[in-house]
Amino acid sequence: MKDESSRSSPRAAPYLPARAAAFTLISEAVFCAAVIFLLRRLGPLLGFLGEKLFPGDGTAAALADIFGALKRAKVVPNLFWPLPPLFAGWLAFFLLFSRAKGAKQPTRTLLRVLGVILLLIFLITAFLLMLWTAKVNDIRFGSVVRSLAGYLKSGAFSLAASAGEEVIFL
Amino acid sequence: MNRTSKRLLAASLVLLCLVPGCGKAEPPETPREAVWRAGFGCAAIPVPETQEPLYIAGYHNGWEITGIRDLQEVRALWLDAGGDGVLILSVDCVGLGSDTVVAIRDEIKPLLGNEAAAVHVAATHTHAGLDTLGLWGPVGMDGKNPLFMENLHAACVSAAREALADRKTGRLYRSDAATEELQRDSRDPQIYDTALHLLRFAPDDGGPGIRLVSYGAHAESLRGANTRVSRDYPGVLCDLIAERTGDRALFFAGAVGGLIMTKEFVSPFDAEENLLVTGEKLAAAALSGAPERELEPGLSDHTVSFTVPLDNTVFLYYKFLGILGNEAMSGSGATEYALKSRLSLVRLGDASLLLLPGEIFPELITGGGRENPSNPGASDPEPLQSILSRAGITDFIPIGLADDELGYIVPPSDYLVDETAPYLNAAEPEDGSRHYEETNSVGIGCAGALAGALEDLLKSARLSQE
Repeated sequence: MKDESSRSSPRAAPYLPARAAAFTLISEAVFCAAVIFLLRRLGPLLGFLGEKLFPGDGTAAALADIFGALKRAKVVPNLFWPLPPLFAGWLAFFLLFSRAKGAKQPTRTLLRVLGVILLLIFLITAFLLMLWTAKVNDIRFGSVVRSLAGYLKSGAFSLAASAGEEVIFL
Repeated sequence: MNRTSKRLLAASLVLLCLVPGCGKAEPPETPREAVWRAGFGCAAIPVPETQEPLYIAGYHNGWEITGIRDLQEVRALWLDAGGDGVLILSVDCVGLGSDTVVAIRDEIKPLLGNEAAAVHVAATHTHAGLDTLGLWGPVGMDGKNPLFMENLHAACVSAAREALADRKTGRLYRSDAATEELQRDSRDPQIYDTALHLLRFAPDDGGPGIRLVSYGAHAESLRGANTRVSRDYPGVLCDLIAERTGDRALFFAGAVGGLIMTKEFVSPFDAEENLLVTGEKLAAAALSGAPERELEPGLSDHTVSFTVPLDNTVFLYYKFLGILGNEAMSGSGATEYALKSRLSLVRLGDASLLLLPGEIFPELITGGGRENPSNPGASDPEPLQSILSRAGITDFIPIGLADDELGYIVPPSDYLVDETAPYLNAAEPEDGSRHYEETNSVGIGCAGALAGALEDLLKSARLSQE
């Protein structure tokens, strides 16, 4: 067994970066589709979450209506920034699995678990990065989240609501 | 002739045949005589019969129309002086985003064929029309009705077609008519343009002429409680001009920022009567026989694109939600974005039309400001009048809300936003000054960007003349 493993490892090693690159591209395509799907369905999603958090006060319906407009939005995910974490994740995964083949138990299991955990961390990072940098109607999703968070933190929305600011005299 | 020369000659002949236009039997086109030529077109924008809501624009979110006083219209003016022409559309609406204008321009282009012409689309800024910007639906929701927007596009094409078919030669006259005690400014300094700026085209065949009117006051004589569709005072003014002279007229909003509107002339207030009185007073001024001077034939159109730093987070959200369609890119605004817009100058003899993409405060054109501005740390750009004057342009007609609607264009020295809820609430400083307009402006950098764009436009125009 030991001899077989030591023979297979050196042969597999040169293919690892190529395999990682291939899986990077596949996962990028999947993430891309997922980000577009998610952002275009932000209305129903926020409506669902709003109903759970503020049941029956109309917030959920308002969120669903406002963000429902995104179903026709132009969504352009950023393909560049998620690439490094995706590639790093898949490379780490294949590298650790390749090393695990030649290792004894429990090192083998440990390496495999570590590989999966690292892959998940990098995949989640890449997905969040793609989501954060995705442009919806030319505006980065992250810019809007950050701006809304600033308003929520300062209590500006409740102030504006209490002031009855619904009149636009252009 | 050796073999190489023969090959060169043959190759030259082949190339010449590939050059567009080569080989046609038509004689070379001679430039037409320099003479004014103008055409007018008009088309109503029908209100669609639909179950979808039809929101009225200008005051309250989510208010639907309850009736129709008079239909919104598109009025088109073609002008040329023997060379390239310009087609200017006046649309009875609160404003049009640059994306809508680009779409209208693309729809009109096929009508022009091979003619070189600039197309500009401006809003009269009526506050009694259906929402064309999307800002007056329920908060956060698009207030534009797609069927009405389709009708608006179709009316633009129809009015343009009519204007092209109506073209006649004639003479062009320029005048300014004074108006007294008609306007009010809701924000200091009390600076506004009291003149009705006029152009009059008189055709050689003695038929009906065309009048262009620009005035610096919001078209909201019906005031905020109105829910009937109307062109407001620009409609009454144009109708009265037609009734009394036979001339067709089209209206443009001038420098209306700050917030300048016509006064209430009826007490107790009656919207319909106030509208009629306002229109009557303006028509009387327009037809008061102000001294005219004839403009020598000569037309050129100069346009420059520029970017405005976007500070207004509410505009950012509306852009994100697809309600505002202006082109956005990374920029230096507080939101880290900028909006792309355009500024144009149409030279008509020694007079000009200055097409501004929003509601500019008059003091940014003429100069002057508050004695104690709210934001003294920021300096105002050089007044547009002064910039134009340095280029030898002293007579110009300001046309606001042209080719875009960037909201209010506020002097930076008086620009103040609420610290806690910027752009959601208006700032209320201790000196009691009003700062509502900032909540509907792109940002503090808009005035400077516009002045810079005008400088660029004049530089490029001079270069092209050389």
